Amino acid sequence: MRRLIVPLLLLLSAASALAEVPLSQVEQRLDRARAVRGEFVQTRELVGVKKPLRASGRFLVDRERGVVWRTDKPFSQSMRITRERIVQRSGGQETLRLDAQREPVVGTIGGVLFALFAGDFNALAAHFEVDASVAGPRWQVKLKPREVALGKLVTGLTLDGAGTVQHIVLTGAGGDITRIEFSGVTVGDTVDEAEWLHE
Amino acid sequence: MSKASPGRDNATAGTGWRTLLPAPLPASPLTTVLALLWLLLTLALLGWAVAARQDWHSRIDVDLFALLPHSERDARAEAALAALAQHGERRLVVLVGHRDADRADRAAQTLTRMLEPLPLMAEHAGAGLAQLRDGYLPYRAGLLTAADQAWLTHADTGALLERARAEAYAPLSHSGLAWRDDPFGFFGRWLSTLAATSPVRPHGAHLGVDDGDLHYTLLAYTLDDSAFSLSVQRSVADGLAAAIASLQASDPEVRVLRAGVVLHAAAAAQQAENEMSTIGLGSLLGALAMVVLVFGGLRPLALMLLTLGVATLYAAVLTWAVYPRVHALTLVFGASLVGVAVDYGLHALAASIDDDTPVAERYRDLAMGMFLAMITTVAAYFGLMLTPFPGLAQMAVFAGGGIVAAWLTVIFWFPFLAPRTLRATCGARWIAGWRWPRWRNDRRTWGIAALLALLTGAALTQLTVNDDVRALVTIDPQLGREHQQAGRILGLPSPAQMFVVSGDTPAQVLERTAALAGRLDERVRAGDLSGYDALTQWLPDPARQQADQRLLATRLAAAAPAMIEEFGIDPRPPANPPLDVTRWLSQPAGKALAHLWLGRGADGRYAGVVLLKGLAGNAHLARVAVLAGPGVDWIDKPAQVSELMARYRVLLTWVLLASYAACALALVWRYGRATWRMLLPPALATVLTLGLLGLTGTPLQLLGLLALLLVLGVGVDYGIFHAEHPGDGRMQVATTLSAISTILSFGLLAFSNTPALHAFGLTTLSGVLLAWLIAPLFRPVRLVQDGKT
Repeated sequence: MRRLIVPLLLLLSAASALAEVPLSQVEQRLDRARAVRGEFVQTRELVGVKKPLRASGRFLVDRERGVVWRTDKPFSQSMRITRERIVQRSGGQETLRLDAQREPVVGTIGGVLFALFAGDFNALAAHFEVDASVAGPRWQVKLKPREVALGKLVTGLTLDGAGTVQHIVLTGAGGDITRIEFSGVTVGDTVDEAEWLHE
Repeated sequence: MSKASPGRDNATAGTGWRTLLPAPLPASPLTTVLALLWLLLTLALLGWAVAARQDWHSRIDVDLFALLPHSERDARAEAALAALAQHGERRLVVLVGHRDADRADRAAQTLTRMLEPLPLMAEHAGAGLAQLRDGYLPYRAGLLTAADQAWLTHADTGALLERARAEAYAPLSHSGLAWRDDPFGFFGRWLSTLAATSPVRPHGAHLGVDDGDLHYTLLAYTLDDSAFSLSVQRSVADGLAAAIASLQASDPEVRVLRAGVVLHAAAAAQQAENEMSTIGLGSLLGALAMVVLVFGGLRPLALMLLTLGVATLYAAVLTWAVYPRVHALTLVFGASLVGVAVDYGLHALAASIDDDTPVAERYRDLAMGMFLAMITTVAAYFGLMLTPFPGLAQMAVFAGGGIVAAWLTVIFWFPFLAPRTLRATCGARWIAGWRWPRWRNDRRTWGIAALLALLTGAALTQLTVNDDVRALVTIDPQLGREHQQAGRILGLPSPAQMFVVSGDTPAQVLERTAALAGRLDERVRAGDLSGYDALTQWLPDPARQQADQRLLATRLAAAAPAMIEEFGIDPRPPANPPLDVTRWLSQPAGKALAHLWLGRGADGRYAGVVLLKGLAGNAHLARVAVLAGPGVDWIDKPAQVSELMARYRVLLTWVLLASYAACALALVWRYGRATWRMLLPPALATVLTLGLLGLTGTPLQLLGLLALLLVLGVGVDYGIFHAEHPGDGRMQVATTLSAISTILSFGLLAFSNTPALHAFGLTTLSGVLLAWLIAPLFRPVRLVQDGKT
């Protein structure tokens, strides 16, 4: 699987022909609205599993509260990530609750995922070596974990987009790869309570 | 001087008892032979001491527990405490705090650079849990959280598949493993319970921890092998303090907390050194000046130093010959008890002031009193030998050996070495001229005595005792606070209280630990403590692992066909034997937590410890302590040591009383009914001193009783000298010098900052001073002999 990714990434970077720039230039190209919502398609390529797993759903990023990740297909599941905890619900039942206070590593993971979906690169820069480049309105950021501990979880992250994040490629330390493609993204300044709490 | 002194005639009135003298006649060949034999023996022992000094040094014990009677010393408890001490004594933790986490990190980096020249090895933040993960991975079939275990008991294939899908579709596995290796997330969740044992988490390249609105960056260091050198400890403590000061000068908002045994050791050594150099040097110079001033010339001074040197030599030789290991406290307090040894030399020298009696005759005169003084003092200390406490017995052997040697040195050598006549100096004449009142059997004297008795009685009701072992050490308050705060923030277990869990096999130890952990969880929920470190958090017992393996195997066997069909993978983890202690210890987790496993004891049993966090207050302590049971021993180190101190104190009280009885027996054959004249001065001085302690609110401690034993030793001497030479000005000089030298050497400890040493010094100061003042009150009109006055 790893053998596949490298040429793929090379292809990607060659095709876009981006220029290396400081992170601040990427941030200028990002929409700083409070809320970002839209649809996603996630493809997971798992080590030892022949066909990729495709899932789709909707997401909501509330810069003040966190991220709600709602999978509709192939099954209904929600994951709410805040700086304090990660809660996963499936079929109206809580299937996982990881508390940052009790399990500090959750704080790190939660922080990274939160920053990732919110496009908060400054927070990401605390944990990753950042390699940013731009081409017109488009930008791309490649991240490599600074810490050995984080490196045991994720080996690499690539984000690209224009006003908002459009693609994320996440390579897990075990070799599993997650590709997320965002579509129908809208930005807004309000998040109503029902939307945030909706499962 | 003979004219100025109130007559020596009284002193020489009785001669009949001289035939009983143990002292030789200095002029006879026998005395020459004895003096030479003593010289040969002393030189031989000196040679041996010099040759064996390395060996002796290696046999010095500093462990407080070495003072315990052997039957009470629990080998496992000792092993546990020793292991913890070893784990802790080289570590140094520095927390650099700031409201802003990044500034805390930067400050920590600056501090790290400043600390580079110090002999410290930085402990790298490492990969944390993820690194531990790989060690546990092969054994994951038996590692389930309690929640997953409960869930699996009821889960069917459908539920398992649902879980597998949820994990497979989640964007990131939080264990970092490929989904295939942990398709249901069981192992990842088990790993995350390990993280719950510490609030420390990675932050950037550092480890950090939050406390309130402050973020602390953690720097951990290990001292290299030179950690036990005092100068290295000092350089680390000073270097760290300087670095912190400069850090805070550049950013006053930075808060730094230090925690390390080495810092306390350095601070204690610094304080001891300061006190020794001021108090010690002051007392030595004072004593030397006094000898020179009163006796004039350097020869008396040399003789005093010779006596003290020989006494110390014999004391040391005897102690090291008798005991395989010698405790450092023996040396400290044995040395103070042997200080009485200079009294004989002072007495002999004082007797030669303005006196031209032939040397031989003078020593015959002196020998009886000195012999009795020596025998009573040795008897006072001999009581210590009868106690079951090796520490006290050692002190008795040390002090007793030294005192006998000092006396023999005066008797054998002084006739040859001491000047026949010393010219009275102004100082000597002045002291000899003092006129002490004598006890009168009239109403006024009794009235004063009754009033004093009433006051003392009232003061005695205020007397308290203190057996707290912490009185023996002084902790720098600033360092103490920082240490405590760092411990709280980092969730470090207390080294004071713990459980030692033992069993016939490692598996039994783990099973008992697991059972204890279950009961401790209830106590944590009830709020008695905040947490604990137990082996089973990191290494479940084999029975639990096997049960989990069986449960998982059954469920996964049923789910495997569906998993293979949907994902093309078999979800069953490799079937390895359960992780055992030996394998665990070779893993990163085991290496980091090796202090929780004590291994196999001398009795062939295995043991581990359970450490407790956030446990304070007697009520909480009591509710946790009752969890002890078969194979689970509760250890409360401060309570046990304090209890030991209390027992020593009670025992020493009896020893003190027995010593008075022994002295009375030794004195009564010569002084008959007049024995009270010798015993009353130290007894009264003791009672008045206890009253003084009550009045000043100074609690009576173990060391205070040792001081009272010293008061008996020197007080009886004063009584004897006064009875043997009533009204002799020379004897007055001798007792005065003895009192001053004792006060200078030990009484000045009253100015120490260490509570126990302060109390010891105060007791000595008051007791010896009072004994010296009271002794002449009860001097007889004429020489006391066979009960006749």
